[in-house]
Amino acid sequence: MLGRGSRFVVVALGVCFSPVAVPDGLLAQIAVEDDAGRRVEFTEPPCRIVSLIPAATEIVFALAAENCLVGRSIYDDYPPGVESIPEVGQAIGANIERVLAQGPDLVLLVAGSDNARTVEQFQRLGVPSLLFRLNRLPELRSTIERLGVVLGRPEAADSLLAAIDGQLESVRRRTRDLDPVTVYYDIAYPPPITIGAGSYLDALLEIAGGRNAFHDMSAPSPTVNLEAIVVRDPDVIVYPVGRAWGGAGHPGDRPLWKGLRAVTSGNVRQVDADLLHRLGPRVGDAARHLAEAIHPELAPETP
Amino acid sequence: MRPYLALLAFVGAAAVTGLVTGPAGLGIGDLGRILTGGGDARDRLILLDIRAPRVVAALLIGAALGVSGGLFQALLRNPLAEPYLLGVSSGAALGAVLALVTGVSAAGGPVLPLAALAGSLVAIGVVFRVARVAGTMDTRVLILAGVVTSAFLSACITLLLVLGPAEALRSAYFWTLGSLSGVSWNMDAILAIYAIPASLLAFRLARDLNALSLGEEAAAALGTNVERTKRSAFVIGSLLAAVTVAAAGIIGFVGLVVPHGVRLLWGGDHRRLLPMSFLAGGGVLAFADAAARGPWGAVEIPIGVVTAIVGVPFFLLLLRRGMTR
Repeated sequence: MLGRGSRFVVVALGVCFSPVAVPDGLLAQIAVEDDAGRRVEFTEPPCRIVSLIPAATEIVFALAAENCLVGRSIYDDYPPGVESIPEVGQAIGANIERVLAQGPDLVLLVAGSDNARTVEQFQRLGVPSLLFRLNRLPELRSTIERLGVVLGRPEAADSLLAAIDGQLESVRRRTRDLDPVTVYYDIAYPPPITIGAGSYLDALLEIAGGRNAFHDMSAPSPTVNLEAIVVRDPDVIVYPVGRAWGGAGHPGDRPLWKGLRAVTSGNVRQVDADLLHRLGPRVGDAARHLAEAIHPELAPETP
Repeated sequence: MRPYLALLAFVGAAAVTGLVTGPAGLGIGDLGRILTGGGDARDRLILLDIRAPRVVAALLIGAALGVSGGLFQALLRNPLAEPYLLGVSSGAALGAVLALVTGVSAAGGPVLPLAALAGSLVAIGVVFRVARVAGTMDTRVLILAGVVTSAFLSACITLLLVLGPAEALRSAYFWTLGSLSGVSWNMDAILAIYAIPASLLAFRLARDLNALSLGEEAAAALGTNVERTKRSAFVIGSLLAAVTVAAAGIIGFVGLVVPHGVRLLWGGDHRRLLPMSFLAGGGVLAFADAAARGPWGAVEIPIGVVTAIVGVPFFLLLLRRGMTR
């Protein structure tokens, strides 16, 4: 048992040895807190990074640090050039051996209980990891900021954030004077699954000059009642389709949807799931894409 | 006659509850007005094309699951038997997941239900083939064949989902929870064409199933064609379950709990048990569906959650009552 006396000894030893030990400030030049609330320190920017978050991979590329990437998940498909980075497995339930084989000095993981055991394993093996959550717009900002700090590129992070802000602001400017339209975002059917206020897509719709028909739902992707869609009768329906997501077909083809205002007035638009369903550095493009989908009068502006 | 009247009243109450439940808030008064040709277009759409087909689907699916569960419990002489035990649901799930992963489900319409139906028919066929040795069907082998086939198919599903696109996982998850959302009158017509004649055929097996409950030798001695009875019960029970899974995904507990409930309340004579399970299953599922979409605002909870949370305590209550009597 460590009594009062022995603690004194420890303190005394610390005082005795402090002149020879490297001061704390020098040891941990870089320190960030990840989204699991863990403080992670680095003496120099890591440059053997395995990213198991497709959006974080995009951020590393956007910060021009892609030469530090030594591994990525099977879901990474952007930007061009990403395919030359070795694939090391799934984003959740990582293949620890494949990751270790790359000799990483940092692993980026999606925050969440799904990854709890993986994080523990990396901790035991002495491989630093950072957990990031990317479900809302402010989380994108803080993830970019922290990756900038860790990679030793805070200026690049600042200019990336400024560029994103500029793009979002320009979309806002273009939609400001338009009448906002109510939008139903068709994730899956049946049952009807849409987006709620807990999703960044809800915020993007707002920027794009729309109002999410189910903004009052707090969950990120609530299952809603078909009747409620009929009652709310949105102006526009958007349905995402992409390489990784076949979607649920054209909503206008569903018998019970044929009477909806959006269907009868021809306001059902397909949107790009690959661009929209990942919150990353392309969020400005995503907002513009949404704006042009729900306000077709904006589209001709881009060639 | 009295139990039948009680069950018909139960079904009627469930149907009316289903019709007046929903976020649009149309009540009994509106119901009367719309059924007599009044009301605006939106209210008519909600009541006649969204709620009514859903209530009918719940009644038919619940009825089919009730009869199917009763048949399997009689065939396997096992209280844990239920419509999904022998691979119907995992076969259907594999069909649906294949459609989701390959992207053909994006074509919409009846693709997903048809894929599910095809999957369950294949599973039923495999189990049937495996369990039939030298012209006879050993029910112990049947259970093992069904459970093992289920496990194999489930492993295939997991493999597909792990290797397939991430979003298919989410869709498949919701599909396996079961939902009556978006059923149309067309779907109801298909359900009725399958479920009602198949249930009537099942009722005709009742006398032979009663004999079977005494054991196969005793049944044979009483003049029952044991092999034909078992085969018919398996095929009819499986087809009933398959059609419900194709229409609404996997809805647990109804097929297990309803026949047991009927047995505890009114006895195990299959001449009564099967028709009563038909009525009780329909009423239970229609009430469960109303509970899944009624009290939650615009949000809808999976119907399988309701059948389990309400069904299990109710069943335990019945079980206690049955044991103390």
